Amino acid sequence: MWSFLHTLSAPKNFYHWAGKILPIFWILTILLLSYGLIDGLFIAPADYQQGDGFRIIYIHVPSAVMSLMIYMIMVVAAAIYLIWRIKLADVIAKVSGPLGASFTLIALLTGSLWGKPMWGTYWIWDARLTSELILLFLYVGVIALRSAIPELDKAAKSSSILLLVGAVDIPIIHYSVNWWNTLHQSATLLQFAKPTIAPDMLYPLLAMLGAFFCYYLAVMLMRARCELLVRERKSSWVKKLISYRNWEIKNDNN
Amino acid sequence: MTITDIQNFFYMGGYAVYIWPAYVITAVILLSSFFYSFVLKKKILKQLNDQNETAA
Repeated sequence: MWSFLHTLSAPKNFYHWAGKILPIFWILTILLLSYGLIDGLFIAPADYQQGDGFRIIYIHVPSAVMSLMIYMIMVVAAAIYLIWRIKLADVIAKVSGPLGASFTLIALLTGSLWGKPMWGTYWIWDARLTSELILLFLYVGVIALRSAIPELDKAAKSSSILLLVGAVDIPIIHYSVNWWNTLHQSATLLQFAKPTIAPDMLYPLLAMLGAFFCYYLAVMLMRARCELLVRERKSSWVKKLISYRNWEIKNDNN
Repeated sequence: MTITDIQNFFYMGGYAVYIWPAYVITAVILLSSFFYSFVLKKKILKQLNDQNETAA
C-alpha cells in the first residue's frame, strides 16, 4: 500500500488517478444526497418538541462535522508536507482551505437559523458557537497567509504552521459542550455510546454526512488537479496534455 | 399527494422561514463552489495553452 501511495505522490500519476476516481465520488454524492434529502425532508417524522423545525439538522450537523474533518485532513497534510516535503500534501492542504471555510460558514449560518426559533436568538457567545467562529477565522487566516506570500515554499511552510497551531481549536469545539455549560446541546452522535437519536431521523443524517464527505472529496480532487496543472506547467506531461487538448479543440472545430 | 400536502410540505409546520433559507444558502454555497472548480479548470487550460503558444 505504501508503494502505491508513493507512486501516487508524483503529480502526473495523481492527476490521472484522481481524474479516474472523480466520477465515483460524484455518483456517490448524488445518490446519498437524494436518499438523505428525500428521507430527511419527507419521511422522517416531526420532532415532538421542535416539530418540523428540526429538519435543519440535515444540513447543519453534516456541515459542522465536515468543517472539523476538513481541518483535520489539512493538519495531516500539512504535517506530511513539513516532515517529508511531499508537495502533493501541500496541494491538498491548499485546496481544502476554501472548502473547509465554506462548510464552517454553512454550519454557522444554518445553526443561527435553527437557533432563532428554538433558542429565541440568532447568536450567543457560548463555547461551541464561539469556538466554531474562531475556526472560521482560522480558515480565513490560513488562506490569507498563503496568498500573501509569493514564494511557494515559504507560503506553504507559514500556512502549515498557522494551521498546526490552530489545531488546538478542534478538540475545544468538540468537547466544549462537556467542559462548559453551553446553550448548544451535547453530543448525540460523536460520543462513546450508542446514539440517542431515533433511527428514522438518524439514517438520513448519516446519508447527508456521507454525501457532504463525497462532495468534499470530489471538489477537492478537482481543485487539486487544477493546482497541479499550474504548479507543474513547465513539465513535459503538462505540456503534452495542453497540446493534446489544443489539438482536440482544433479538430472539433473543423 | 394533494395540493394541501404540498402546501403543508412547504409550510414545514410554521418553520418554513428558517428551514428553506438554510437549505437555499447551503445549496448556493455548495453549487457555486462546484461550478467554480469547472470554470477554474477551463481558465487554467486556456492560460497554459496561451503560454505554450507564445513560447513556441
